[in-house]
Amino acid sequence: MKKRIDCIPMRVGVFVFLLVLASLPTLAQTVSGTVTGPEGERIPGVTVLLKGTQNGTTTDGEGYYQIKAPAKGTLVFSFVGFVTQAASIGGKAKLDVQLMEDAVQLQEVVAVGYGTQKKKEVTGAVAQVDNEVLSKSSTSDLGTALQGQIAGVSVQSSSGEPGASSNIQIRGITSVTGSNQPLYVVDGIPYWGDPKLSISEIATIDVLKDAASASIYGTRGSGGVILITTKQGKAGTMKVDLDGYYGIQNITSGVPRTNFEDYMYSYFLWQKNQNGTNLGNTWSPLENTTDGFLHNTDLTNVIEKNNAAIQNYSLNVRGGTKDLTYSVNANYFGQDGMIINSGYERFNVRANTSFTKNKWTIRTSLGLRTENQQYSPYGMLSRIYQYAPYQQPVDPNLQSITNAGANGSGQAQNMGYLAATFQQKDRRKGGQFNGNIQAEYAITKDLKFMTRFGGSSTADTRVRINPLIKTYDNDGVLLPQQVRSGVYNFSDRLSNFAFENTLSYTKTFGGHHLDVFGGITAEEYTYSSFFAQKYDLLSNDITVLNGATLDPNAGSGTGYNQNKTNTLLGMLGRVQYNYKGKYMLSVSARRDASSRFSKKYRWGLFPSFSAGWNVSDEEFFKPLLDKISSLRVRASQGTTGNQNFLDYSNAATITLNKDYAFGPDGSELLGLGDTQTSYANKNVKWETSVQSNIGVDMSFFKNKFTFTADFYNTQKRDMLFPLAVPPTTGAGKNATVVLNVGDMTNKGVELSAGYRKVGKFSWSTNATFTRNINTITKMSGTNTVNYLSGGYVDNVDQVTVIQVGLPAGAFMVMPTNGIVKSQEQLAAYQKLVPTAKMGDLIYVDKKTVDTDGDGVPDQGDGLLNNDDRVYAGSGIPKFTIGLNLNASYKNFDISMQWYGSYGAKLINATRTAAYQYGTAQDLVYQYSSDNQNSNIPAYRGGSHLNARGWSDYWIEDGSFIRLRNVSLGYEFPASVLKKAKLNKLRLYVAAQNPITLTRYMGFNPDVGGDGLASRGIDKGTYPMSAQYRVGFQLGF
Amino acid sequence: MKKIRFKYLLLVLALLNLTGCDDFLTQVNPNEMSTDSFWQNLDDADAGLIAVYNAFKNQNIMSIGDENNRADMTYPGYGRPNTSNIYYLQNFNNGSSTPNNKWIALYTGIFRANQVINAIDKLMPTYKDEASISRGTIIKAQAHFFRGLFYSYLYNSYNEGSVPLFDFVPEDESQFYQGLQPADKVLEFFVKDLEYARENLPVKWTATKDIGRVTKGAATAVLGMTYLYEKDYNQAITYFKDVIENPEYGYSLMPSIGDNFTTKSEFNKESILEISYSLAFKSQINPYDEQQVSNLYSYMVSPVGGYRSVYPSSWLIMAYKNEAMDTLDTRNFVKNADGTQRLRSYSLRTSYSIALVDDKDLNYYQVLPAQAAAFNNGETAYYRKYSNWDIVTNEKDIFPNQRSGVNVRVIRLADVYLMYAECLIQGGTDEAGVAEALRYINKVRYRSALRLIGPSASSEHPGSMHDEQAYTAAQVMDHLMYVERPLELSLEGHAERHIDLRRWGITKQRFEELSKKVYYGEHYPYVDVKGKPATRWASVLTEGTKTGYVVISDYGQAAQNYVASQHAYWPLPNVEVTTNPSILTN
Repeated sequence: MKKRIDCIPMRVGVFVFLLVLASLPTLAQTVSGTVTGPEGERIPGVTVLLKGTQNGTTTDGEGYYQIKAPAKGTLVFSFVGFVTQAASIGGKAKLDVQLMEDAVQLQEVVAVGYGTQKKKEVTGAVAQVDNEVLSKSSTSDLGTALQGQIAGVSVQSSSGEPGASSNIQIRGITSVTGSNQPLYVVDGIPYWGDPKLSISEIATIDVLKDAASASIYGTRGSGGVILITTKQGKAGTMKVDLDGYYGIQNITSGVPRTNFEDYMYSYFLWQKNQNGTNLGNTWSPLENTTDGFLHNTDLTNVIEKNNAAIQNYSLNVRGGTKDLTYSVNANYFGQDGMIINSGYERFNVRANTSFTKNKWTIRTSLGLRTENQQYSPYGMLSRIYQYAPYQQPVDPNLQSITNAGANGSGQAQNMGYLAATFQQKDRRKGGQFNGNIQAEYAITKDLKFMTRFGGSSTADTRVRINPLIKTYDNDGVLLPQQVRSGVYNFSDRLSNFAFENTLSYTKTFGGHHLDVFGGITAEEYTYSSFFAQKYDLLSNDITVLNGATLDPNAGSGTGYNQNKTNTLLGMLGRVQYNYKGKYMLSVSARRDASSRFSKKYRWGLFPSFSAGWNVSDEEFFKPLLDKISSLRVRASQGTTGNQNFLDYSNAATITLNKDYAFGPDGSELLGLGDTQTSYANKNVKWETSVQSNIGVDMSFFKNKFTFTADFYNTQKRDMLFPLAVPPTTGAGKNATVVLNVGDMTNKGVELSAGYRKVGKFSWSTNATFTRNINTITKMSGTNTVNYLSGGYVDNVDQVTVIQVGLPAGAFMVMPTNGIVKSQEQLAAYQKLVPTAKMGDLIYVDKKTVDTDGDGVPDQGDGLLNNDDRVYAGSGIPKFTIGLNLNASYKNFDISMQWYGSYGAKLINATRTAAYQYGTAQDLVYQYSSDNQNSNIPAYRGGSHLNARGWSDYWIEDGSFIRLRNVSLGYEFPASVLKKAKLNKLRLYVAAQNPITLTRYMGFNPDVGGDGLASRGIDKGTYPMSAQYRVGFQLGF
Repeated sequence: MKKIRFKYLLLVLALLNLTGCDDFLTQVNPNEMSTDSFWQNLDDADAGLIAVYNAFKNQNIMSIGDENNRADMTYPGYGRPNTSNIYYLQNFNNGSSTPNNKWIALYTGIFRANQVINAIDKLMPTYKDEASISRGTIIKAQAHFFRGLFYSYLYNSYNEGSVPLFDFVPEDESQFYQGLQPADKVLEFFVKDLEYARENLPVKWTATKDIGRVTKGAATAVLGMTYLYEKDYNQAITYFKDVIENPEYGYSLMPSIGDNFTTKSEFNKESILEISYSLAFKSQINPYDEQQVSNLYSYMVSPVGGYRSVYPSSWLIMAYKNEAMDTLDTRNFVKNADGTQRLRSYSLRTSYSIALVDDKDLNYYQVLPAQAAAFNNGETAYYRKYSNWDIVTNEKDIFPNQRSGVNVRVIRLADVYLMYAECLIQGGTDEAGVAEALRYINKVRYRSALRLIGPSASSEHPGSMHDEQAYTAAQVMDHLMYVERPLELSLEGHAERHIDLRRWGITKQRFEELSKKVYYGEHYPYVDVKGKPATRWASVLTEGTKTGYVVISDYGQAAQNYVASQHAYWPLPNVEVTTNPSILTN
């Protein structure tokens, strides 16, 4: 506690220091003027650059600019939606410019796999987001920054824990195995998972949504591809940007929890329901610990932290000459956890350079990352519900506890246990080095050879320390340790490289433009891990392994942490053709081989085809141009693959250490046992998906209003599927085997629209709409209703399934129909559930038996079993909407990002847990003989049918509308900046997640959960916070 | 010119295709050996067999706590009269953890046994030498024993005996989902396994590394129990008789009943089937890990450092307290400090089975029971069985904690004697067997110096004290049901008390009867370890009620809640029914 307080002024200090640093003066001399639009309106925010340099400024709220420039120089004025205009200064001190609106706004370039394309000529579904949009969110996570920005890219938070990555899902669920992550490609190098760049390193993000675009990445393209381009230098004088923010975060929601009186009341009700005891012959923990009457403990205040700090500072330096450009970026992100003992810090540096000489162009990129993540002990939040109000308050910082409780009491032990968990230190320190070098040689003017080698090396060490906690009871007797002290170290290292060689040929002749491209790639990924552990610390001051004294233990990783190497070879080719930019055609193919498959199934072919037509370029369209400024239609079809499953899972293996001690006590000998404990599938092969896409891009009224729509249909075949294996096979609980058993479709609509008005009061808005319908269409094999092994609500019941006709990960739950309130109801219900009592939840016996032979089931089978389960939605929303609003008036700007999600169902498993611990506020109002009108079932213990996780009782509507970001900024006018010798200074205040409108009663309706199995099951994961911050952006 | 360049490109692509790159693309699992490279010889098969033993020691198989909580043996710990133990309350369902975990553990053992049988069947034809053939046969016989034993446990525990059968190692999806087999088929299946084991297992193991492996006697005893449970008394008799009389096995009762419950005298002459646990290894491994070779039973029963999550139910405590000793037997006398002799506080069987607050004759954790344990909250006795009361002062003295090396004697000779007695009287219907039945019951009683039952005239121990009653077969049966078996075998065996109550058809009636009994605890003054007088309040269980004293009673909820169709057998667990489409009835 003390440390944290000390740190706040320090952090503020850093903030102020950087601010001061940023305002140091630089030299300048000036040309000035105003920039106006076609109707004479003044345009703020126009970029004014001295040609051939990076030296520039922007116009202020009055369209006024001032810039240092030589008399013979040329100024370039550019602004989105207007034709870029150059004006030579010619010795003038005043230079006014009128900009014309840009009829062909689509000149911008977007990245497609292995190359770039003019936006106008794109035939696939590709969307771009630039740094300006991303940097509006205060987060370390790219996904969070992308939420709601791109139609078809849905982002759900997996956890609010600092440093956690969200689930990014492009065009619906792409796989039921492993994660649904897209492929990340940073400056051409594919990464295995999120590269964890700082947002300030990123120049643009291009998302390849459709399979035709993604198929150039073959086997890994089925989840879509995120192409990240880092900031590159530009020739010109050095430009420096310094940005930063500092803010606080708070948890704003939770499941209502009982206070002391309510708890005891519901406790006695529970005991009555369960044991038939009443006051007089009952028992409660208060009998042993009478001081419980004095307490009304709520661990919320201990476990949740208010006003936890979040901060981010970044520095970017760019510049260069004709032959050599550079960009160096450094970023620090720090986030204190809102739950005790959690936090995240990250420092990223990236240096990009580019050299050009004769026919050679060489680019290098080097990145460094260090991370420091602190994890709260598992299930911390649920302790709020486990801990009864009569229990003692806890000070989480004591290493020695006196008067913990009466001699021999459970209370004293409990104190020792809690103190030990609160003081567990669990930190991961990690670092990554990544880099690539790329050389391009122009063999002829049209033919280029490129070779690229890149990779990364990541190392992590996670250290968990369970300190030595001394607990003394009221008699001063030292209690045995409730959590054994010790140290656990876990280290892992992964490295990957990619080596690519490509040839590309570009030729324009007549109106014809041809791009031909071919290449080969080789990739390797290696991972290894091990742990070392020792118990019994001598002192909490020495917490290295040598500081612990007993029972050393070491081992290598298992499961997803096992040592592994996998390799991938790819051959790819693509032909792109267009005629006058009017008719476009693209054909590509990639042939991939992956070491994950046995030899027989190793190679896969992934072709694609796409075409586009710029209708508005046609003669006949001309009369419409003043209303419809542009119109393009696109169509594509492509094939992508998926190899996302555990390495080596195509061969069953032998597990060691299944030992047994033979011989009588005192002369035992350990027999070493080895056996197969799980199953594998030798015949696992590629999962493929074929996607068709039709799109239209339009703009209206001189491009003020833009509109894009995409419709797609994805067919997945031979889906890799973790089929649940029943315990009778001997593989234990939650065993699975990966099989190619299912087919699935994703059909969807993506709409985005934007409007922009420029003037004294400028504003713009853009909105995205995403709807995806996911359906399992085929399950070959025996098991047609497959409960996902991770889909537990309460460690007893699984509810998420894969079943034909339903979305993947659908909730299949037991339907209920109120509670038993009358003797007649009870008698009837006891026919189904012989053990039923008054106040019990009524489960419905689904009609599954057809008695009159009409083919329609009309009667239940008299049994309560999984046959009775019904579909109750899924954790995946029906549609999501993103809405951005930006406005500026004079020097003020305001922006808002809204995000809405409709139609997801959530299972409030936190509430289930609170019921099962008997601390839910609801339980005060449960059915009892004194409260016979209640609709809350009588509580008979956590594992009773009334509280089981499989019922529809826990399902809630997860729709929500959230104000994700709102910011208000002030940009200092050029006149002021000039005196301070600055290019840009903007100060802003912002809030993230300040408003969430929802009917959901849990922590956070944006429940991602990890992977498909637990999606929508809110198990009290780390909640999202509301954040408030102040920041600056500075350029000189 | 340009055309040539294209040719180069095509050539490069073609070359890459031809060379194949298999070396680059072939990655072998560095972590674990594949099943194809294992099972190559008898050493591999024996390692696989040890993994079956490893499965056998999984405490979920015996589920000692909850199998007794659902019978009439125990009270589930803390907070009397309130408890949330759903097995004691007869409030469990197919999602409850104990039947789920037990199911998983049993089928895991079956899978491992099948692998061994499969491997031996493939290896055997390759051996010509006698030694290999003999070793292979014995390994296979042990695997068959365990498969048979595990299926017998499934048969007697779940779904009235109808469960899926695996007699093979499944390899692909089509084999994973096995439906329920009729109970008689399951019975036939595991009897065949046990018969194979009986024919091929050795009668004894001699090398230390083998002590603890299963024997022919164990297979015979399990077969006897199987037929007893089927009420095929005559079949059962042939097996039990073999266990009792076959000199090759050499079974005999240990001099003290206490030799069967602690680390003392493990694998003794009375022991027929025993699970080995040890503290000698793996102190670094989590006590709950499958690798661990110790158990947690000591924590389950012990109030001294443990959780005493089960302790004896009140009727059982009273029965133990009231056990009639043979006052003619010197074993029942102890020396007072002044050298005079006095009768023991309680019978030897009582003292070694449970700790009573006023037992002055057998220390508990090296001090008097009253000094060692709290005896509060309505707890008036604790089980000594499975705890380390004889070697430590506190279970936490065993470090790292939560471990115990006490073996579990699953079947011992005394049990066979009593089952044999039951068979002799054909479950209480045949008067012809009474005398012989009494003889075997009295062997068990004589060992603990208890007053013998029946007339002394026809007794093996005519000099001992007898109750001199003439017993009918039905009375002998009652004695077995309500006195001899529960007192001799409390908390022992595989779910024995639960299965006994069920097969005798008295479960519900038993709960109803017991729920009517009321008790209270008398205060007990004692001298604490520091020599100061102190009192264990309400710690001496006494039948009846007394004003100002808390009423103690058991099984009220069980009597109300027990519905034979729901609770006599464990339901098919939800881990199975949600993953196995071939099973839908429940």
